[in-house]
Amino acid sequence: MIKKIIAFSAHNKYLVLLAVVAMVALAVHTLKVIRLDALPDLSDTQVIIYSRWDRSPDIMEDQVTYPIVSALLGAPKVKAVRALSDFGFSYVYVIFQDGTDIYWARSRVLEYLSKIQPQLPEGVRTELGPDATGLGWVFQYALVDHTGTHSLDELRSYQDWTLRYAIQSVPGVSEVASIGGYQKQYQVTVDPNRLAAYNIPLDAVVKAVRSSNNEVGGRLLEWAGTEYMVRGRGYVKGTEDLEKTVVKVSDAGVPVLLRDVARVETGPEMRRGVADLDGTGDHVGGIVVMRDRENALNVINRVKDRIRELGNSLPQGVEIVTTYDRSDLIQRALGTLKHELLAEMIIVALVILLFLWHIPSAIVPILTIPISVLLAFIPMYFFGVSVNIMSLAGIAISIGVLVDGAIVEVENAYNKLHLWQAGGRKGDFHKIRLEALQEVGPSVFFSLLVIAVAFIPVFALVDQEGRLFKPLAYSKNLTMAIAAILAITLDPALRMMFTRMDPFRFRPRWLARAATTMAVGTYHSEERHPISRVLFRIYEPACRFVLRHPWKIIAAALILVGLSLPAYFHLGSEFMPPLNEGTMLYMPTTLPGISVTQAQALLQTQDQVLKSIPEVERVFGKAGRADTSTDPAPFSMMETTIVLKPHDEWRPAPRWYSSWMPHWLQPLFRPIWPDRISWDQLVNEMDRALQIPGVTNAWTMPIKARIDMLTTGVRTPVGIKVFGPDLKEIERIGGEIEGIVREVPGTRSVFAERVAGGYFLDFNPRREEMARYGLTIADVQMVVMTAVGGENISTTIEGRQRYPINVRYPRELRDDLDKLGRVLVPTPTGAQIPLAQVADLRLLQGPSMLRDENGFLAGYVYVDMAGRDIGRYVQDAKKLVESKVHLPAGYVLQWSGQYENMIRVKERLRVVIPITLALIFVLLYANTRSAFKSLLVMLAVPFSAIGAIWLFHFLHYNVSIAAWVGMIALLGLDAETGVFMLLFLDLSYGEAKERGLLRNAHDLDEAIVHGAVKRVRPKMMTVAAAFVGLLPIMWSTGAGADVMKRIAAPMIGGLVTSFLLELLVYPAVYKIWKRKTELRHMET
Amino acid sequence: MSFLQVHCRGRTVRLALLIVPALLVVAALAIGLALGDGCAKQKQVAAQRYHCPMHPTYVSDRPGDCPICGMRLVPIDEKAGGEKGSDSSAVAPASNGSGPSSSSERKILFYRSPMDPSVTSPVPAKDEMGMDFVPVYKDQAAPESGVQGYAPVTVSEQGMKLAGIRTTPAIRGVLHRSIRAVGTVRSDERRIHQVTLKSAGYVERLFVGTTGQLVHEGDPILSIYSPDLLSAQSEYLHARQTVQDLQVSGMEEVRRGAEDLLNSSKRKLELLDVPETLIREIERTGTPQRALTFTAPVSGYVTARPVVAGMMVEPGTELYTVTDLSKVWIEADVYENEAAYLKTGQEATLTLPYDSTVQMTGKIALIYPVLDPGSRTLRVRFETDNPGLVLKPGMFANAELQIQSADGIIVPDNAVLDTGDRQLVFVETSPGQFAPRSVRVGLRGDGQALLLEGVQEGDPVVVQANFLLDSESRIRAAFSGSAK
Repeated sequence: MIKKIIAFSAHNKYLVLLAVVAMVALAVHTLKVIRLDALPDLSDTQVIIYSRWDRSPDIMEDQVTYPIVSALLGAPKVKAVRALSDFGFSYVYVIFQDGTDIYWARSRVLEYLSKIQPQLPEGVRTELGPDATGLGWVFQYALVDHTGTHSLDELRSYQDWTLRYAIQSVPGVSEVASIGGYQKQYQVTVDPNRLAAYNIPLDAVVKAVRSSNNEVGGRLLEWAGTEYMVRGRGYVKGTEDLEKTVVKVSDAGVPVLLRDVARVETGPEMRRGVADLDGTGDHVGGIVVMRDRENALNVINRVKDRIRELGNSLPQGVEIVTTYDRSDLIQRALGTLKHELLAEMIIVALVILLFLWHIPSAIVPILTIPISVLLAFIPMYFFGVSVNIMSLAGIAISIGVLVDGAIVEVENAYNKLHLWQAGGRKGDFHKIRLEALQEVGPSVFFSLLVIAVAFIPVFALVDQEGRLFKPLAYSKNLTMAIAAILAITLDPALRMMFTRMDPFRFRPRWLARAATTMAVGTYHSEERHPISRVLFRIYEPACRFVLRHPWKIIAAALILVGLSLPAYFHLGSEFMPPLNEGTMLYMPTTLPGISVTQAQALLQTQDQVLKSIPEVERVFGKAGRADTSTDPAPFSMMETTIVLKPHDEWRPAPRWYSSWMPHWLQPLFRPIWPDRISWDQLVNEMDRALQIPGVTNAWTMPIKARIDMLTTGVRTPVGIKVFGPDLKEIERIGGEIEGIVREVPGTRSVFAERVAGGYFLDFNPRREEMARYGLTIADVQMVVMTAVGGENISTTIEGRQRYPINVRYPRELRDDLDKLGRVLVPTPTGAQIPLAQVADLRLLQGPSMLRDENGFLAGYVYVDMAGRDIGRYVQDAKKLVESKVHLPAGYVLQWSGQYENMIRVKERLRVVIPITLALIFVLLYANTRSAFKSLLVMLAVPFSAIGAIWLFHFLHYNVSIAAWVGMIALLGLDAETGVFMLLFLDLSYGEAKERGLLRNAHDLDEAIVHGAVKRVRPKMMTVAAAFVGLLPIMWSTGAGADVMKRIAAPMIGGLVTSFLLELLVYPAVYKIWKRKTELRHMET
Repeated sequence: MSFLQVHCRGRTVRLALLIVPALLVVAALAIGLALGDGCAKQKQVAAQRYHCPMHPTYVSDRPGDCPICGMRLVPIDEKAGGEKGSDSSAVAPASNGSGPSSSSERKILFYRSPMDPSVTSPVPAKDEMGMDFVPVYKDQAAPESGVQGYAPVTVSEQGMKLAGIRTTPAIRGVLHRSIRAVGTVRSDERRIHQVTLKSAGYVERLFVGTTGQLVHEGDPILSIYSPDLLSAQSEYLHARQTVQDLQVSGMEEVRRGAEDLLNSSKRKLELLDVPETLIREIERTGTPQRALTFTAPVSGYVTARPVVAGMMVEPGTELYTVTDLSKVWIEADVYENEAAYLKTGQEATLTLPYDSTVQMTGKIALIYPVLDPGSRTLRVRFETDNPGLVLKPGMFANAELQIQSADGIIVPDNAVLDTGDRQLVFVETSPGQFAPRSVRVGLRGDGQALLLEGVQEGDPVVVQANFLLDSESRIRAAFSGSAK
């Protein structure tokens, strides 16, 4: 079949070429419309229900979160409902099964939410979060006022009511969240003494304010044939309107106005987030949140266009300063990858050219690379795979491999043609060439197929890993598949294009010579080829040595494998390889409970220090949360985005060449020995400069941080969730479990979450006392809410803008416990009594955030384990915990964690890996027709592991799935080189046997040496192409390079060892095998 | 020869066996080095511990990701830990001789429960779950500094600056606790005079015609035609005439009778509030005056004037109320729960909510014996001078009373971190070294707190950024806890 296709392509070369050109054109078009982003979309199908209500976490939990969670439990296709109650905010995350349509999911959530919404307390604002996640934070800006004439609340109003809507209407933008500045608020600060003196209860003030701000319609009036629309005006337009609100009329008819008992002014609304730019103090900023599954680059460009359009309408002297722009990263990352791809292609082309020393042959594989890469984008587009670092990395690691097919074909044709030429040109060379192509065609196709099949396990990954690595697997496999198809269509067609076997002879001579070199070339025998000669000289003695001591060599190889195991267990692990985003995110954390003022002071100091570092271009800090449901950060978590200057403007770090080498030469050395200070040095310097007591520094990068925060579940292999009604008890049980599980063999670390950390001031009403005064709980609470808390009681409507009105005691009357106790409660008898008379005030600590899972309060115990079968480990731990921990009624333990996933993946892999191996085996068997040989080929896998492990060890890399993906990619490669190795050994052996030269062991050795050594060129060529092709990745420093390095490193390390060991061990094993089987027959 | 060859070969083999793996390692090394990443870091890994920068209490023995948030773990800088006390450990070997690290030399102070560090035992023990108690060594226990869950903190100079840590010495002094009560200015009850007539009559003329007018003692205020007075005058004049007529009469009894009459009729006039001057005027003229003019009995403001000209007044009818405002009362309402602290004679600062320039002091003159059931307050009376008569009855005044005072160690209120169960103050023991001290707050007020224990006079206490120190201290404590 394959041979027929090859023949067909060879005969209809122009048709094939035309088809390819058409496809390439289509691919170029696809590139323009395909989705671009830095990373694949990692988020679950998740809907956030976001509620706001200025209440403490436990009140939020009881009155808002819990009812919502319980209402949603029955919704269809829901995988889990996790919730978080924080001060003033409740986040309910409804996680749907993979593959659920997000808009379908959202309407289900709305449907279930509508049942519960009427039952929620008054004042709770519940809404569905945007169809986006924290990963959608693609662009951030700050408003900078150069004139100093605009107050922060003016800027915030401009941001909230003008800018926000303008940008939000850009297609692809889901939400624009405001941060920083002050939200304007009308503040009615009542003087309790005056209220007491006038004998006005606080609720009368509240009522008066509430009823002084409304507008109504009086339908229509008809006069003189005209209709008039009737309006009753009365919105509050300013502080004077409020001041004139009457609170009471005295018996004498004198009105008591609000201004008589209170101060009315505008001030800042309670802040749950502050922003700082360059350490210069409070700033107003905005965060553009992109809708899920959008083309980030396009969205950002549209946003920038919109901002440019708005330029003229900004308030005088105000400028929009970009503080974070992901398009930069995307462009740089894609640029790096494009650059690497190009470098790879060139290097691989050079390798091929060098090895073949024959341009017409080299052109075929060289052309195959870009075409197969380009064509791969077409199916990617239709599979919905976006172009990102991962998918491009998939292509990058396959470049060295995908030319293999072409190389082998060309090499074979080259060899055959050389023989034909050396043999006196018997027969039609066209036919010989076609035969040569057809001879290796199937095995080329199969070997490429093996590589593709080896990737099947990647598709068995689920959740985040799956989402992260599937694009890579897709792109790699698609590229490989296309390369495989091209190998049997385009390559024969192309090869047939160069039909001339004789040198051109025309004038001018130099042109003829050039044309000859380009189109005809000269054929050299392997022995005369410059590179082959060097290889022979090295490899032949080694091979002979190996054949003399086959067992020892095998033993040595096994020892090497054994030595690598401990190194493997020493490697750390990580979810995702680091992606250098070029922008830093500094995330200092304090313990929970820090106040706005302290947080803001801290933020500003930190930003000042950061800004003073010369490499820093801009610092934009955020403490607390932006006004979006995608940001559940409390004040104790600060996030500062540090935009750095371009790397070549960094401080120099002199290198060995800096002092004497001419400047124009230095750029050549920079990629290997950068002469600027490194990222890590910079981070270290910043870290040293920011040693602040009570603050732990974390240095990460914006996207990475968002990904990390995306996951709400347990991340460790094992997690024990303690469910129950009381958090204190949950925490106690957690602590108990922590101690017990630590004893289980195999435990690496246990950590029970501590939830306390919030500070509370409780007003505990004394019911007997209250009864004496005729007070109800609600009366007392009204005072706590208004006088102490400053509840927003109404909202002004001023054109497009809306501001809250709040009533509150002056600050100096509620800044200590004593004074708070003296807040007055109006009694039904008209008396006003201090709160302390009817309630106890108590300070205490409690949870600063509450976690609710499927309707229960939950505490997690994180368990990490190693060195044991996880299933059995969990069984043991379960048994121990069950026997030792006494659970009070109502408390439940649930064993969960990544191990669920691991077990699921394991179960899948248990099926998938044998199938994969079997498939590979079958493919190999189909190729080699020998079970032993197939097994021998697969022996390359442990050999490659040696190099991979040690390279990781020396490069100080952690093991992640990326590394495994690299290993799997290597597996296919190993199999391929193994097949070639064996193929040539077999060919040589068969030839010797045919010629009757196999008479004794020495003859066998000679045959093996001949097979191994004489055909080292094609083997070396394929490996060198793959190896050298990957090297530019290891040298690259651009954005996205680190991810690729982690994937390429095992391939590079593994290729080296597996190839060396294949060269050395295969002959040894082959010899023993042949001696045991065939030679013995012969000798007897 | 052949033996030698074999021998040689054997050696070559062995050599080769070494060379092959060595070559591979060298190759791998070369790649590793070429890629610029140093392998020197490798050395530190063995004893290094890692923690999550976001969740510092999660500690792991190898690098990786945090199980809670997925952040990359960072190596713990153990040197910075307060409990390691870098300088003290540097000095220790010299004084100890053998070095403190050898475990046999370490002195076990006590044993503590592995689950609850506050449960301790002097001898090895097991807890209820059968777990062995953990020994606590002297060098471990020393830095725990009394407050469980908190460790002392060492802060670099730069850290101090960045965090904005500021200290203030604790002082010995007196602290007052004050309450604020709302009061009303009232006229002194003792300085209110009512002008009344003791006889019926008709108001002829009003000299003081409006309320609020200021009158001085002796100023004429109104004249009255009173038949009773007129007849009393006539009576008096008649009696006087009779006395004069009888002066010559020898009849002692008659004369005395007339004199008695005169005296009683004069007395009557006096009792009817006819001023002495008027009586003399009558005597001089010898004719009774039809309308008599009355003068103000005291100086003060006319606070009520029910009388109008021409009005007929009955005896006892209020004509004027004159109030002397040179001294006024301020009556303040104090809530039940604070009333117990009040004493007569206690001083208070009185201020006017409208006029911040006025500030007076007053003394509690009286605590009313009865609680007002309507307002649920107890009334307290201050007496005060009224210079310039700024205090006007009916005005509101604020009274600030210092109800409690105590002397002791005083620190700013900001210095005390109150978690509800525990009050904590950070003291700078030596420059850059901060130790948590558990304190008991006796009294708070005026932004200051009086400490009953835990801090000595002169101790520099942290008044700014103590939240950060508190965090650091707890994190440090968590480290040393997990290290065991």
